[in-house]
Amino acid sequence: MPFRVRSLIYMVPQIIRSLRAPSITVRFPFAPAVIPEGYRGVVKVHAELCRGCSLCVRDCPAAALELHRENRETYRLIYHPERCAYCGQCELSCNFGAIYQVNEISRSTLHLSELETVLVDRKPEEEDSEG
Amino acid sequence: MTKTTVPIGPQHPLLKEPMSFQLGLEGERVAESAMRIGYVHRGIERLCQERSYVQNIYLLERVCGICSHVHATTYSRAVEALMGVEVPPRGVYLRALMCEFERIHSHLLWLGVIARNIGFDTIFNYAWRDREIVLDIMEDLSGGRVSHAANTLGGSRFDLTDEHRDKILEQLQIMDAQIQLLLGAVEHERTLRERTRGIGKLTLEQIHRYCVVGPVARASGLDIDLRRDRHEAPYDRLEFAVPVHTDGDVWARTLVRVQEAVESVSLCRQILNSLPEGPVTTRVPRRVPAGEAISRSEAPRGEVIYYVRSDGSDKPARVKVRTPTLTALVTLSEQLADVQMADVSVVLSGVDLCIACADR
Amino acid sequence: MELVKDVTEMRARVLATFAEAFPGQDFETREIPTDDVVITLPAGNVVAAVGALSEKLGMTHLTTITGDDMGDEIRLLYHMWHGCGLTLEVKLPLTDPRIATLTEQIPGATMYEREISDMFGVVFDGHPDLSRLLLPDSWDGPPPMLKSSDGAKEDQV
Ligand code: SF4
Ligand code: SF4
Repeated sequence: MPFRVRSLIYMVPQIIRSLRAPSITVRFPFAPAVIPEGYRGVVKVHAELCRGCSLCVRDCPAAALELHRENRETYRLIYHPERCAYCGQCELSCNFGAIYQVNEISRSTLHLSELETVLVDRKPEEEDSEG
Repeated sequence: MTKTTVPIGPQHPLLKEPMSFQLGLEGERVAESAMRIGYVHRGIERLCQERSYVQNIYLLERVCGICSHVHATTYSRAVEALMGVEVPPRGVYLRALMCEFERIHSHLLWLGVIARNIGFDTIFNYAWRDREIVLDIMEDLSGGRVSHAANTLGGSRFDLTDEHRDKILEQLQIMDAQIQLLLGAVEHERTLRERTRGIGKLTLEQIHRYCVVGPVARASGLDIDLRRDRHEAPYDRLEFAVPVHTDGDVWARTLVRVQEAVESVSLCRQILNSLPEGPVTTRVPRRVPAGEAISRSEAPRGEVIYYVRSDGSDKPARVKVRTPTLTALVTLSEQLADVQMADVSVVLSGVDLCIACADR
Repeated sequence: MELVKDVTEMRARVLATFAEAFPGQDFETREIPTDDVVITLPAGNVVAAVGALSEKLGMTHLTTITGDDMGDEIRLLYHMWHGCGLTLEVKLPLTDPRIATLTEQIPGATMYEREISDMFGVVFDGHPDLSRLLLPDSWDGPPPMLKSSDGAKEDQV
């Protein structure tokens, strides 16, 4: 009996706390998702900094990055978000600070091929204009 | 009396992960039990041989969905020992900090699961609500709630600023109050005690015979905690108690785990207050020299061991993982002997099974 | 329970125990990080060695057994822990690997032995139940952790 009463007394502050707490759920597509600042989300790249050294491709544990190289100046860095493990190793491996993660989540889609993103598409004649 | 065979699993609402039991019942009592695992075997050990050392950190983090950080840490420690690299003290502390957060998270999650299984939903809701505090801290620190990716060869990938530390200390204050409340409920609440007392009993002798580790062993009186007994940094400079009980039943395991979580909160606070200055990582050589290394650490469920053999190439020649759940699985047939059918779920959740860990 | 303090002491005490149990035999030992002593034994001696260790030193904790395909032989490593690590190393031939089971001394070895018999095809003589542990019942390829196996096919996953 005494403990029954005590557990009721215990519960009162908990109930008040729960009642006063704001709702945490967000109606996502209609309201913006709240994502913490440091969240490891999708991978982006500063295309002008990338040298095509493929260090990120080598270390990516999920094979989410691909580098298609034709010659020294022509290459494409392709990102597959559906394979990405959002680990951030690419950011760690890149020596030029080109590749980085932002706190965004990847879109959902019905067609896998829509997800494929070309991060860097480098062609020799564009090099100057890209800076 | 005729025997009825009740199959449980591989997919069953009682189990959170796939494994299967064949329980032979005599009336309401379990007379015999057989078990089968392997439904979530992913071949991680073999995959490790086909990936580079760096890629393996992230692969091994996925051995377990709850204690992911400790796997990555233990593996990194083995590889660092092979390379002959010393992690700077700040890196060691930050790794331990994450491990302790993970321990709180794991034990509270477990408390929720067992409370739910005995039909005590208040504790379930409280435990899982408070676990959210730790998850938020971990997400803040590393950018991920479960897969923290907080390790790299040579140290830790995240660092703390002073403001960050103050914020975490504040959150720990709330955590502390909440966890004391849970501890009070676990210690005094009659429902929980009567439902868990005396079932799933393991004696100290059985613990020795089956080489059980972790909270299950400590609930039966085996006073071993690798954090204390291996005298390794940073635990040799921190003060903490290792809760040990001697009853050996689910009730004792509940106490051990919740008390351990209380200790972990205090450990987190000590680590934050005594964080050494300096870098968090050190440079590591690209090549791993040939050799072998064994690294052990105390995961939330007990001792984890990694054996890594390198043949000098850029991929490990062999990585062996032994997760603590595998040791507890052997004892299940003894624990299930003669319990009531209604208590089976309590016994099963009492050992804190992590099937994905055991299957790898 | 009295734990061994460090690797040097562990090596000395274990070698002293073995000198008594197997008179006239020499054992190759090496230290590996982080605090572990590896002692190489002939395959026939493991059961007796584990028996002597538990009797003389009170070492009963078998952490796990690691199988390792070295290319020309299979190595089994019996990892134990008693304050610091002790590993007993045994070498088995690739064709028809067999060794006596430890389950009588240490019932906790059941799972580890079953796993190795799954993954490496090692037969543990006297094991009560060497049925499949991790592999699916329908698996009909060679033991998948052997170097000669090329892993699972698409339809076996
Ligand atoms: S975040 Fe990880 S998985 Fe994703 S692209 Fe980068 S390295 Fe690959
Ligand atoms: S993103 Fe960085 S690591 Fe990747 S190819 Fe470009 S420069 Fe190299």
